[in-house]
Amino acid sequence: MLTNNAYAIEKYFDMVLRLALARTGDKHHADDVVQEVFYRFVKKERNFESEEHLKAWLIKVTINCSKNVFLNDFFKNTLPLTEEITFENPEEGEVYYTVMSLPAKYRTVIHLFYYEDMPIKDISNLLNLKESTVKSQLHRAREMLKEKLKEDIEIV
Amino acid sequence: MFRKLYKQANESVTDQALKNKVLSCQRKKVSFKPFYATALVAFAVFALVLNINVFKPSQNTDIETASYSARRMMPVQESAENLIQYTGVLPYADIDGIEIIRLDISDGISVYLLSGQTENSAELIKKAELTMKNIDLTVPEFEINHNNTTLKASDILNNLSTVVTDMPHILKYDIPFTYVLYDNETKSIIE
Repeated sequence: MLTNNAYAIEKYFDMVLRLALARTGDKHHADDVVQEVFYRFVKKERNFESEEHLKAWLIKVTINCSKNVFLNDFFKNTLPLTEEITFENPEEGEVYYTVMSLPAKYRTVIHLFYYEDMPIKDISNLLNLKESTVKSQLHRAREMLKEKLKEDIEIV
Repeated sequence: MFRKLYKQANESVTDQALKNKVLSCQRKKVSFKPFYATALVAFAVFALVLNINVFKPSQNTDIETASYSARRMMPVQESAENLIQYTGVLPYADIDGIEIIRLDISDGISVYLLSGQTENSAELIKKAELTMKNIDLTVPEFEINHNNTTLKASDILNNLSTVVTDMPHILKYDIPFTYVLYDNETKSIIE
C-alpha cells in the first residue's frame, strides 16, 4: 500500500510531465495538466495496491486531463511547441521535435509505446481504443516519422 | 535506434521548479480550488446582500485601472501642479481625460507631458502653458534616454512629437500637448 504522496510525486513527476507534453504539445498546458493530475492525486488520498496500479492511474488521469485542456474552445487554437527544450545530442532534439510535430493522437501512441514501453493491449485500454486502432495509429505515425526523419534513424 | 533516441530525448524533459512547487503544495496540503470556490461564493453572497456592483472595474495596481481610480477621485478643476502631484509615481495616468506622461530625467527632475480632450482639460492645459512660458528652457540642462537615443532638453522641447511617437494613448486624440518640468524634491513645477 503506497500512501506517501511525496514519494509518488518524486518518482512519477517526470513521467507525467513528459506524457502531458506529448499529449498537449505545449509546455504551458502540460504544466497545467501536471498540477491538475497531482492535485487530484493528493486530494483523493487513494491507496494503491501496487506500483503498477499507481503508475497506470497517473497515466490514465494525465491522458484525461490532457483531453480536458482541448475541450475548451479557447485552447483549441494553440501554437506548436517551440524549441524551448535543449538537448545535448542534436539527433535527440530532431527526434523529439519530429514526434511533437505529429498530430496529438499519434504523439500519444508513440510516447506510450516507445517511451513507456507499454504493450499495445495496455495502450488500447488506457485510450479506450480497439487494439487494431492503436496498431494502425502506430503504423501511420511510424510512416510519418520515416518521411520526416533521416534515413539512418531506424524506427521499429 | 529511434526508441533509444526518443527515450534519451525525453530524459532531458524535466522541470525542477514545477516539481518543487507541486511537492511544496502537497506538503502543505494546499487545496487552492476549494478555497477559491468557497471564497467566490462567500463574496457573491456578500455582494448580493450589500448590493455591491461587482462588475465595475477593479482597482488593482494596474496602471490603467489605477488611473481609473484617480479619475473618479480627482476634482476636475485642478492646477497642473496638483495634478502632477496626484499622478505621483505613475509613468502614465489619465485624469478626467487629461493624459499625463512622466519622463524621468536626472537630478530629480521630471518632464510631464499633458494632454486633454475636454473643455476642462483645455483650461488646465492653458494653465500649464502659462506656467511653461515662465520656464527658462536652457536651465536646468538635462538629457533623457528614449528608445536608445539620448535626447537633450532642447531636443525634447523642439521635437516633443518625436519623443512620444510610441505613446499611443496621447497620440490617439491627435491634439496638441504640452509639458511641464517638475522638481521631484521640492514637489513643484520649475518656473
